[in-house]
Amino acid sequence: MTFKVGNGYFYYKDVPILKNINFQISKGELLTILGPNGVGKTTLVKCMLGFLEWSQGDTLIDEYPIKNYARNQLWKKIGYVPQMKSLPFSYTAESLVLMGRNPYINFFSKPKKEDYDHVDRIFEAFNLEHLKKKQINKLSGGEIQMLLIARALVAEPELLILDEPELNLDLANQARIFDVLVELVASKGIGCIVNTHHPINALRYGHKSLLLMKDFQYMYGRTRDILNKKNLSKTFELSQEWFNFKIS
Amino acid sequence: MKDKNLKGYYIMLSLLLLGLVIVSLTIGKYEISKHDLWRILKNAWSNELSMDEMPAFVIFSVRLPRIFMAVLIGSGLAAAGAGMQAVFKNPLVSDRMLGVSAGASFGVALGILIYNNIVFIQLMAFIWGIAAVLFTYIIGKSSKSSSVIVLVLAGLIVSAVFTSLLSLVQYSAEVDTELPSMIYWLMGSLSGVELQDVKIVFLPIVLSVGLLFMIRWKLNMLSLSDEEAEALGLHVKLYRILVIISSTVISATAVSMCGMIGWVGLITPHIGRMLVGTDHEKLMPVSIMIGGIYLLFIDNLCRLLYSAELPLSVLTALIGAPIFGVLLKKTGGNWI
Repeated sequence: MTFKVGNGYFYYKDVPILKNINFQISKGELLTILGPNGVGKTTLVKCMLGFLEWSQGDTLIDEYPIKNYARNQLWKKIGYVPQMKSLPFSYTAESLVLMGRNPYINFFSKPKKEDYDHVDRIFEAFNLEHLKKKQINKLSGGEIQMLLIARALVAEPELLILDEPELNLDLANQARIFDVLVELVASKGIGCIVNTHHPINALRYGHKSLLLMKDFQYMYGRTRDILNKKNLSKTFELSQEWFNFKIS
Repeated sequence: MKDKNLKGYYIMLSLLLLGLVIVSLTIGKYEISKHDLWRILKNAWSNELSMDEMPAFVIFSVRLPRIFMAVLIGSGLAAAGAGMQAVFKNPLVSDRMLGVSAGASFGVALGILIYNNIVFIQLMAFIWGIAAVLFTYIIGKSSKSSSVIVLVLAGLIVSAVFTSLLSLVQYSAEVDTELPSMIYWLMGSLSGVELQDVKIVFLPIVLSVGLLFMIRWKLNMLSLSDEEAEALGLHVKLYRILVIISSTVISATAVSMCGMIGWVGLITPHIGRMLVGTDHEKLMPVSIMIGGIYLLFIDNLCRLLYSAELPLSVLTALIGAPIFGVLLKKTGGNWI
């Protein structure tokens, strides 16, 4: 599949937030979205998923506007991993991941054996079987993030969209998350869009990047072409020297 | 939670409910021995029952309707509570969140003031309970964001208005006759429930509970943030409105039949969570059973504790709150 944002504008009560956004991602690509706080990254994610309506332009999946897809069809194609936050009810890890099967479950139905099998397989693949019956509020941030990814994957999506998956995670856990994503992209050909605050992760793991800057400017292209000191310093309003570091 | 345990809980709670129903038939001011009960039930089975016999009359015309009503309303309030807690993503919410019982109470008082007839009062309670939630929904809806916080605030506003209106009606009521009757009605009681009442209540409660039961697994997603649920392919608004409608029908029916009954909708889902965890697929059936058991148990106490009947709302809270306190203290609330 191809996932494309064409000519995307978003105004919040006549105040422009995003202007003329264009990008595209296909199977087997990992796109990172970077930018300073308040520049509209979260708005961009919401718009491209249809949570907010573009004022102009559209999100297109295989050339059809996202609105044309029925709810179930759409969320079988796209898996969304929200920012991790505490939940009011502490479900077991299994219940949480099982929710990912919802697009396959009818209006008055509940999960069937087949759905449980999918969940079993993903726990196995992620090596998380020991967590299955545990309550999520007893788990670590890294474990919960893995479960959220697992939940998005049990719907067998073609595209995965993650909103700051490294939030509050230490380096090792960040690396684990991205290793999983890179593996999914490489072996299963899933497309992946990651909203991130860490240029290092973008550089290390991304194929394409989108740099959102102030005053509605942005850059989009191959990660190795655009993630350089000049662009990063412009984006994050830091001096170029700030990025001059080497770890011995 | 293993599924083996789950079956065990279902069986245990069903037996408990059945046992309690049988016990409830025998206890009371008019004593009926187990032997009599058995004989009468046997006669009833073989159609040889004569209602002229006092024990048979007490069992079938007085106690059975009352027991049915207690179980129906208790189960209903529990299901409504569990549903509303999911919709509002908050375990402290009860079925009254959107102003239904404030509206229905006002309806009761207004009914007594206008035309003191039981059916009319019940109808007024039901209508005003629904109207209150409708107001809440309209106010909450007019804001652009459809977040549940706005609904909660709208519920507070509507509740406040109807509570004031209730006071106003009570203030203008006749002190010797109307006012006490308003107050007693709202304190709640199941005494005087007849088979006719059960027939009226049966359909709205069973349909609403049935709906909540059918969508129980979907409540899991509904309890997540709206966007998260949307991204799992859930039609959030549709499920939310279904839960709100069924809870409102249940609560309005409850107030119209037996006054304001607090605590059932709030604590029974918590007791359910302690047993089977948070997953609504298991929680909903367990809560429904616990709700029925709880209200029937409390109603028995209302009948037995004192020479006169005690108000239902007094005991649901007076017993429920301390039980909840002990459980909270013991477990530290770790079931949530």
